[in-house]
Amino acid sequence: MRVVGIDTSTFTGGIALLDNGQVVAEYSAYVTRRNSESLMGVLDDMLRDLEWSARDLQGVGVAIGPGSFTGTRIGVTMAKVLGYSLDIPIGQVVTLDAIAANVVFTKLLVCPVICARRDLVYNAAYKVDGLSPKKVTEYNVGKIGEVMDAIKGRDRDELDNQDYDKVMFLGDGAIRHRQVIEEKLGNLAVIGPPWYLGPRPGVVAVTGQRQIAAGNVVDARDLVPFYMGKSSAEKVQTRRRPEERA
Amino acid sequence: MIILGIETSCDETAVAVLEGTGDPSPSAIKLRSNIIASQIALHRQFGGVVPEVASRCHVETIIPVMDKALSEAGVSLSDITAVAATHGPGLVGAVLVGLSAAKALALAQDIPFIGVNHIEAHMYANFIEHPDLAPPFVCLVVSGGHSDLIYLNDYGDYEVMGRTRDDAAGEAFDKVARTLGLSYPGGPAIDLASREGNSQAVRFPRAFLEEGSYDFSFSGLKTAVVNYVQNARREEREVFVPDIAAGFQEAVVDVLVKKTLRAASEMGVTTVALAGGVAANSRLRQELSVRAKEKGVDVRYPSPILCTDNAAMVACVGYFQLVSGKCSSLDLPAVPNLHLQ
Ligand SMILES: [Zn+2]
Repeated sequence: MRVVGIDTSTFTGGIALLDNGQVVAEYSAYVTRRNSESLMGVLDDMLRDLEWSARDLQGVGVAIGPGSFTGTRIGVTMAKVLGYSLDIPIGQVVTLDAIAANVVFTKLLVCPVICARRDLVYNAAYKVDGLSPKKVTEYNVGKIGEVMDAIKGRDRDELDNQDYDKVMFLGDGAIRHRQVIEEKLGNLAVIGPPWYLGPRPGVVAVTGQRQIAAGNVVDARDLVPFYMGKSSAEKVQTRRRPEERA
Repeated sequence: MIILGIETSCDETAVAVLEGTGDPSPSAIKLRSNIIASQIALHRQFGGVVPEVASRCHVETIIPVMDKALSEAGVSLSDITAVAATHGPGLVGAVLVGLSAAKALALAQDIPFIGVNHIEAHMYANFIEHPDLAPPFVCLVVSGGHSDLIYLNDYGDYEVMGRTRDDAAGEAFDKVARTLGLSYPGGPAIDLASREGNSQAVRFPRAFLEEGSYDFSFSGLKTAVVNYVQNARREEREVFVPDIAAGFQEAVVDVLVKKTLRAASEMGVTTVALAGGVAANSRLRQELSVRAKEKGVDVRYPSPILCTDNAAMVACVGYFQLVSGKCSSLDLPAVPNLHLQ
C-alpha cells in the first residue's frame, strides 16, 4: 500500500511517502506558511523521484492539529482534496499523538506541548513503554503555568506508582516555555532532543495508514482541523450575548 | 477544454466549470456551472466578515461545492483540462483554502494549475456574458475589498489608472449602513433604502482629490455621514434614513461615474465595464449608462451573480491564461495584497 502523509500543523512539517509500511521518502522542514503552501510541489518532485504517479497513492494520512489554525488548514485541505479526487481513504492523526510517537520504549512520561496563541499551549501526556504511545490524559489547552502545575500534581503519583522517573517535554512549547517548565518541575523535566521536538511526516503517514487499516477513515467532506477551541470572534460573540440581552 | 475555477478569497466558497473551444476570445467560452455557497448569514451576526470564521467555513464547504459544480456541469473530474484558483488579493487564511485545494486537485489529476488575480477575475466576469466585448476598454472594479480603475489594453495587459487611498467603495457602504441601522451587507441595503429617499435632500462631499487623479477616497464621505447622523440625533432633528442613504449613494456614484468616464475619454476608448460587488448597485448602473450614452460610450456590466465573488470569473481568467500558454507552479504563494501586473 502506497500512502502519503501530510503535516502542516505546527512549527515543523512536511510530507512523506510509504510503500508497504516503510517510509520511502520524507521531507521535513522548519515550516513557514510559505513552506506549507509549496508542499504539493514537493510531493510532485517526490513522486517523480520514485517514478510513481499520484494515481498510485492508496491512502492519505494527515495531521489535523491542534496547532496553527491557518497552517493546519493548508494540509487538511490538501489531504481532503487528494482523498476526494483520487477516491482514496483518509486517516487523521492528532498532532500531539504524532509528536509522542517520536519516542519509543521509554520510562519517561512523554508530554508534547504545542504553542497556541499568547501563553496558551495544547498538551497531553503519554506512556510510551512499547512502540506506540498510550495517552494517559485528555487533550487539553491551557496556560503554560497551569498546565505545568497539573502535570506536577499528577506526576508525583505517577512517579510513585509506576516508576516514571521524569517527564520528557517535546514540541515547540518545550522550547518557548523552557523556563516555566524548569521553574515548575525542576529536575523532573527533561527537554527532548532537537530531532524529536516536532511531528515527523513519516510518523503521520504510518499512523494514518494504521487508522485506515483499522477502519478509522474519515470522509473527505467531513475532514476538518482539530481546533480545540472556538475562534476568537466566536468567543467575543458568546461573551457579548448576555450583555446585549441585559 | 474544460476549466474548473475555485474562489475562496473572502466570504464566498465558490466553484465553477467553464468550457472553451481553445480560441482566445470571449465568444469561445461557455459557462457550464457556477456554484456559490455564501457565508453572509454566518457573518451577519458579527456585522462583517470574520476571517477565522470564513476560513473554517471554506474548509467545510469546499468539497460539497466542488461536487455540485461538477454534477451541474455534467462533467467528472477526469474531464477537467486545468484548475484555476484565486491566489490574491484577499484574506490570506481564506485564500489558502481554495489555493491548497486547487494545487492538490492539479497534482491528483495531473493537469495544469493556474493562479488567478481576484481583481483581474472580476473584470473577466464581463467576458462570460458579453461575447462581443473586446479590449481595449476601461473597467471600474468596485467591491467590499477594492476600488480600482483599470485600463485593459489586451487580455493580460493592464494599466491601473487609480485605486482607493482608504476605504473600498463597498466598505464605505457597509459602514454607512451600520450607522444608519441598515442590515449587513450594506450595499444592497443602501441601494434598496435609497429608492424611498430623495438623493438631493442632503448633499454630502465628493472627494475628487487632486486635479487629474483617478484615485478614490471614501473615508471622508463616510465620516461626513456619521457626523451628520450624530449631529441630527443630538439636536433631536428627525433622521430620515432613506434620504441619507440616497444622498450618500449619490455622492459615491457621482465620483465613480465622473472618474470612469474621464478615464475612458483620456484613453480614447468607447467602452467601459463595471465589475465587483458594487457593480450590482442599481443607481451606479443607471447613472453610468445615462451619462455614458451622452458621450457615445458603451457600458457593460455582468449580471449580479457574476458581480459578487464567484468562481466563474476565476475559471474565465484561467481559460485565457491556459490558451496563451501561461500556467503556474505548484509553489505559487497566496498573496493577500496582490496587485495587478
Ligand atoms: Zn471580490
